[in-house]
Amino acid sequence: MILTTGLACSLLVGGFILLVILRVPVAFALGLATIPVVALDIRLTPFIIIDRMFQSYNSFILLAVPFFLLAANLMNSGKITDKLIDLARVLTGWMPGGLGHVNVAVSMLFAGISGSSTADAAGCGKILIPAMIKEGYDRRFAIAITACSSVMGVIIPPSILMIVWGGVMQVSVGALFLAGAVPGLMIGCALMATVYGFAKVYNYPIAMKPTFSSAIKAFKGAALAMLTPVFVIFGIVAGIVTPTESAIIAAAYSLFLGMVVYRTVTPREVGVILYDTGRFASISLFAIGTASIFGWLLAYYNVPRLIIELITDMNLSSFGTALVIAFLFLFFGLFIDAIPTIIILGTVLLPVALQADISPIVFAIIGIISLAFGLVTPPYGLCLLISASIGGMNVISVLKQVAIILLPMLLILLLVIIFPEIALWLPGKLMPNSFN
Amino acid sequence: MIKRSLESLCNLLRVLLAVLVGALIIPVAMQVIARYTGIIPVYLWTEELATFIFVWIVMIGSVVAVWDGAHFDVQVIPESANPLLLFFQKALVLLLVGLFGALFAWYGIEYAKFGLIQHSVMMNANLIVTHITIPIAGLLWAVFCLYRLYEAFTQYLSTKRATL
Repeated sequence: MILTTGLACSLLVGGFILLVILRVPVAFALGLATIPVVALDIRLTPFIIIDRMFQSYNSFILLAVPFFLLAANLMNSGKITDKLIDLARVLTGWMPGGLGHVNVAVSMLFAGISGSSTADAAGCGKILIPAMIKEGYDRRFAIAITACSSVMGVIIPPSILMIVWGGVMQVSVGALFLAGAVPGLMIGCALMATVYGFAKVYNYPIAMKPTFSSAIKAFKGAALAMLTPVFVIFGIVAGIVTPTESAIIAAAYSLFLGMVVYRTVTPREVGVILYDTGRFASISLFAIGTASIFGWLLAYYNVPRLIIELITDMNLSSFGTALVIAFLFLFFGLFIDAIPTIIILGTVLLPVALQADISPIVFAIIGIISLAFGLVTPPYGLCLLISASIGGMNVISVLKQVAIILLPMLLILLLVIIFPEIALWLPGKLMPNSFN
Repeated sequence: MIKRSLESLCNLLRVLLAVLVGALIIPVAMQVIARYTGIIPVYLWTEELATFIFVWIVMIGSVVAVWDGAHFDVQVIPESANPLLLFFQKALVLLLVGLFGALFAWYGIEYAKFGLIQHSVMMNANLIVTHITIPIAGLLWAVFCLYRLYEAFTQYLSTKRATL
């Protein structure tokens, strides 16, 4: 038989939701949901589906994902994270709620190097959550601020999500990196303002008053690590290196710092780091394959066209459409990992955004910021799960703090939707040819 | 005996995974070095080789993650306190993932044969080197899920005995 769009869509989406509720791993749920459709529709064969999945891995740009993860793992193992924390202490530790600010600042620094939020939550959380608890901070606040600040990892360039987005939707990765910088910094400032509010209410202490010598020492210690974003971001933006090449340079440089400069990474540890990187990267990347077949089937049954018609019938303005897009990404981000969501929802909504005159770059930034929230919201908030596990608490116990911290971050998302120039300004100045 | 064999196989895959991630650095690094230093010529096959290694990393990593139970799932409804219900839930998940693996292994053979008659553009390598990952991964997902299903059943039985 030939399936109608409605029936195919119900089987795919309904099947996927049912499988997720049953706790089938998301990557396999996406693949399993396609089986009834392929079995029923005479035009489809398992061969086509396997080939679609296989071809999704045939992408040179995706190689950047394991390399950026490798760089992040090397930074955490090579005590480079410690140097960044020392620098963040000097820069922000003198404010009320010092360690909270340090937590946010180090996430911004880490985000500028690694592009992985989960590596940030794990690396910085291991040091800062116990330190904050020891200094009398509420455990729930320590967990929540670590998780929420780590989401900047995918917003401030370089970003693994932006690399995947650029690769899947044929948008300049360099322009995306630049577009994420200002909203990322704004989110950092919003988080610091929230920390300041908490510090005033709960009387949290300062972390340290930096002396001239401690400041010089911290700057010298982190200077070499801080060179990474310089050659990664500028290398891509200037068209000198591709995202994949920049990722391997970042990884090689982190390895050099860990093994030669700081001498904190042993050859034996390198093997473990390579394995950890491969394992974590492949879990995320495997989902790309199954998400691709799911997304391809949605496109095969004209679901994107139906969504465009639906939204067009609603007569929404660009602002209204952008709000709907943000809501959909926020909602799907609650349940699905960001990378498969980009492949399924991103490709479905791109024509909707273009129809509503939303720039592909603004669309990407709205999508990525919205998906970043999913990293700290249950049931699939990986950064929250990591931070809560480090802090030794249940995720549910810290939800109130997370909600309070997320509010100003949501405001920044709303500002990007209302004023798209926030995202477009920097790429417009530095890479005007990358978009029209 | 079976568990030890499967664990050994998984350890071998873990080592292979680490080696492949290390190996992935070589062709991409060669591209960077060739482009920016000129010490070595620009080899066109490096990109192809990197993609081949990448496919193996994804597939082997997915197999190891099935054995470790590390693929991300979402807890939408609270876990049942009833051991029988909990066993049924786990068994259903493992059966479904195992079914996906079995289908992959079965139809993957045809896909691997398709790779056998094709060659890559740059290296002229027979594409079975990458297409074979599909039936291998499918088979290993299925085998690992079956064993985990057996473990879940024995765990359920021991819990039941303990409560009696």
